[in-house]
Amino acid sequence: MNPISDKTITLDDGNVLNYNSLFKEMYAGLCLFSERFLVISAEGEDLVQEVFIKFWDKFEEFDSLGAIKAYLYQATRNACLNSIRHEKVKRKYEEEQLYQVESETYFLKQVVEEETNRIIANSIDELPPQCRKILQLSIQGLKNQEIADDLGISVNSVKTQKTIAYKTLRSKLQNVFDIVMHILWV
Amino acid sequence: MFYYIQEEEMKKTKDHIKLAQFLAKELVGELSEKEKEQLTLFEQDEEKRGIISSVRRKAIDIERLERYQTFNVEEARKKVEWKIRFRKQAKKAVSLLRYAAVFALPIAIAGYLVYVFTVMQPDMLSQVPTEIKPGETKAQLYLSNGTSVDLENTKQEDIKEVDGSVIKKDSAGLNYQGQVTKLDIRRIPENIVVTPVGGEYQLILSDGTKVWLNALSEIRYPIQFTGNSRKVYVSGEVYFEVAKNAERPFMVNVGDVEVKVLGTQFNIMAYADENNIETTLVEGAVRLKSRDVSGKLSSVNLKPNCQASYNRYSKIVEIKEVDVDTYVAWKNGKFIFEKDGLSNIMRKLERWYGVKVFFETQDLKDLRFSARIDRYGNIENILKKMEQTTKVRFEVKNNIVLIKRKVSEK
Repeated sequence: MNPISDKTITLDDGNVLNYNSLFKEMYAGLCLFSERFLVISAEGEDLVQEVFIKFWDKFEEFDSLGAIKAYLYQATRNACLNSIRHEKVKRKYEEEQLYQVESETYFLKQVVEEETNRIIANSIDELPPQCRKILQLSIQGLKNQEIADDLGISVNSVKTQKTIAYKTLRSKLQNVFDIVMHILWV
Repeated sequence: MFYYIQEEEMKKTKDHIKLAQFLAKELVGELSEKEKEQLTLFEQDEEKRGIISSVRRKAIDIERLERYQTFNVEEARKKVEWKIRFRKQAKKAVSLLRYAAVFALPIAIAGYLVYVFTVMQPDMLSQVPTEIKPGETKAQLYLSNGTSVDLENTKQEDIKEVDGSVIKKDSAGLNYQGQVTKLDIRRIPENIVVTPVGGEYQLILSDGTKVWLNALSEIRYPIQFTGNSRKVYVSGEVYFEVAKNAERPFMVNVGDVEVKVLGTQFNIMAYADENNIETTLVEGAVRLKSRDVSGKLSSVNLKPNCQASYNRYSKIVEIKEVDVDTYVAWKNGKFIFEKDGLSNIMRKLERWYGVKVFFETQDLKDLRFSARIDRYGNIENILKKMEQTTKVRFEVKNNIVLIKRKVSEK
């Protein structure tokens, strides 16, 4: 019997990164990213899994998180394009549409949009459930009183939890940022 | 078609990933003064300016963020794990050839074949199995914590799941019947059984449903069925003898297609390299649900001796009457070919005998052939039979089968 394997690398900045934590961090984001290219969005998970299978052998070649992320986004995009090209042969994929999704401009825009979503989603995900709910409602534009009514709690409680939520979020985002800053300003 | 990641593109992508980090902070209102300046620098670039304003306009989309929670990341990690392992095993046998097939395409294949068939001495291929053997009882069981159990040996054994439940294994396969029902029904562990090339396996699920797995197939199921339905996920080729239970329909999910049954016997063939997903009904009734090109769900009922064939590309379901025996022959230890195309036949042999097949010319793929043959017999027998009745000649070296046109005798 073997447990799930793992691999660890040391990055340029001295931080240690392991394959499994990276998988957890990036998997959902890449799946959602793949949907931006595919006709059949359900295929995305399989394609992203293939990307991670290939990445397993390459993992040790990387020395920065920025490069790893760039690689994963690019490899996912390429897998999607291969898949839709295949589709195109089988039934007439609209040439114009294909041309658009194949462009670099389209790719870079999708990277920014999904990576932004991913960072926020992952940061929110680590909050306690009640906090998360309040934060979500607040982001949606609900007033404190409305949130309180919605969840059946006091306005004061909403205020306190909101403070906790933002504080936690701030520290999460700070961490994300530290890593990036380091990679880019080295 | 392969893409190589260019240095320039890499740099650009990294740059945009960095931009995303600034935007994420801005959207939740956590951007510091210093970071604001950095973001302004990004806005100097016209292309980036467009992206930035688009992200700002879309703001935080809660519905999209919630989708992040809908992925079963642990399950995906397990799948990746066993795929890596299985490929490593498969690679050992045909690594050279795969490499040739993937990277250099026809020229490399031709070159390699010439090499194998003319230059290479038998002992140079020591890492490649020289004897072609039929498939056998062989599979891998993945438990809910990701550990795997080799099911190759048939000795009697009890396998323990993380929650303490016991899975029985003997020469007939795995048996999940007789589970103690006091399990916490919110967290029933899921198991996966996977057969490799040249493997087959049998198991009995907790409700008494019997399952036969053909080579290169997979089934995922809870170790005990709870709730209103019994749901399993499969790929490859699987035969089901579903235990009757009108209150709890049995559902088989094959990606694009879902088959719902009450109690019946049927075969599903859904190999990734086949264009169609074929559901063949032997007994009872099943309902097949699938999505068409526009994404609309539709369903059809299937009668015994009928087959629903779902095309993966057109997403259209066609129903026809068939000779059921032909399609379930594998489960009864036979190959039955009824005017089948040679490429179809060879794909079956590849999966079962672990051989790699090459056609000298494309037109050979369409030759048709009929036969009834023992599945556990030698591959040579099948090839000989085909040589007698069709216009082809087979050259076999190690685990490679090269198909050529027969030169007419004088």
